Amino acid sequence: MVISKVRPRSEIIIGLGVALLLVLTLFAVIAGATGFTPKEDIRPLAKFYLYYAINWYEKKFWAASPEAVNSMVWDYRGYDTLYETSVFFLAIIGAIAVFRIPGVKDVFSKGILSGRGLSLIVKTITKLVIAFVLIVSIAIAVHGNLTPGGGFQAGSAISIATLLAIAAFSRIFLEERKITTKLMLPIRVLGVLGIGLLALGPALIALSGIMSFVIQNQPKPWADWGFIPGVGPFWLSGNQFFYNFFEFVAVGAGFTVIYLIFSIPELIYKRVLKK
Amino acid sequence: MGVLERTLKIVAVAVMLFAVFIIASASVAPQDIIYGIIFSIAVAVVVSELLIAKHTKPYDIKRWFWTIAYTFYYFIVAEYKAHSDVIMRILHPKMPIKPGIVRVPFHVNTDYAIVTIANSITNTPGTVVVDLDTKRKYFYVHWINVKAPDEKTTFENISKMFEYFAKRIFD
Repeated sequence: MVISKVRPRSEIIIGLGVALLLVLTLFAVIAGATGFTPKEDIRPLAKFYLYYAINWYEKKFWAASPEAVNSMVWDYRGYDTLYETSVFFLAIIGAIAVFRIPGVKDVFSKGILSGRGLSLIVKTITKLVIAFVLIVSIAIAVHGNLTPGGGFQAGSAISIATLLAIAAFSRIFLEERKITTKLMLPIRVLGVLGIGLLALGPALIALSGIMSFVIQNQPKPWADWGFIPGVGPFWLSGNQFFYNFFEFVAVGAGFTVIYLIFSIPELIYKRVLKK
Repeated sequence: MGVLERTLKIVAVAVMLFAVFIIASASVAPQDIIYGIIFSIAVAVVVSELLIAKHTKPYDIKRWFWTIAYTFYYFIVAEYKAHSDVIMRILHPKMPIKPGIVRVPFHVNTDYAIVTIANSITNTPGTVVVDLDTKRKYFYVHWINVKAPDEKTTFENISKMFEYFAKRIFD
């Protein structure tokens, strides 16, 4: 096949067309085509959430949480987060399905590839860093309803421990310590089950006649029932603490699965596929 | 391995992790103290075997004394000497450098002691550990001013004091 070195005219036309479209869109937005553009001073919508997220004097619409972003994520727009979690959950099922090649694990356990890992300096420091990553990500998770952060961030952070271990030691190092996809898959299912039960729980209560709705956290003017905001010294923001915890478990285990899968060398896959 | 040994290891690691938890939370409210205790023990159960080889070492007062002494020695004496030496070489009109990679022997056995010496060498300006051979017990160090390549000179000039402390802290 002969590849022409002259750029075809159609490409030039498409390129110019895209550029023109972008410029026109920009002008349209500036001219106000999107309708209401929020002003630079505090926006009424933001005002609502900042006013109500934690308000000891007007609990009508409150979420019992000083962390306004978390209140939106798990309370005011909880459906969105539920779907996000489901999408992430399903996406990883896809990844697992794609990489599911029988025999890959055998190659590892028979020690055809024995990872030596990086130098002693890197290994020793990584051991310490892994311990710190574990404790700090738990701190992020349990403070999700109080300070910036939350379940997803904490889950992403804790999975970095896996990535570090793979990079500094080897995949086998984790497998010897039972950190395998086999263990992580049920754990992340438990995390998502927890989120599902928390979301549906209030609806089940509605079946008994008390007014409440799916994914409800605090009592609302039209639904009297709600989660207890805190127990003793523990401020839970109703169900937000538990949402964060389960999200942490689900996302942490999910990313761990992905990193474990990615650490299988292409060579092994090809070798197994050829058989 | 006895239950006591394992418990001692877990407690030592948990104390360190608790400090990290409190720093990360930036709070000493009762809730954070309780969370901190629970989760640092939980994480310590998982990682203590990885971090501590011998259970008696974290409880040895002498080692802690040497750790504090080394902190002062390293950040006040060693860093000052290394910085002033490199600054002199930068500012000197003739730039008297004689760079090269030399072999520096070490005489410690534990991982932490080896890494302490290696990182101490790297962290002081003028010397960088580029590789190490744990079997033959050598660091390969890039040195800004190679006085002589023989092992005695390199050891005396680069890592003697670091090893003196690292041996007493970790070995």
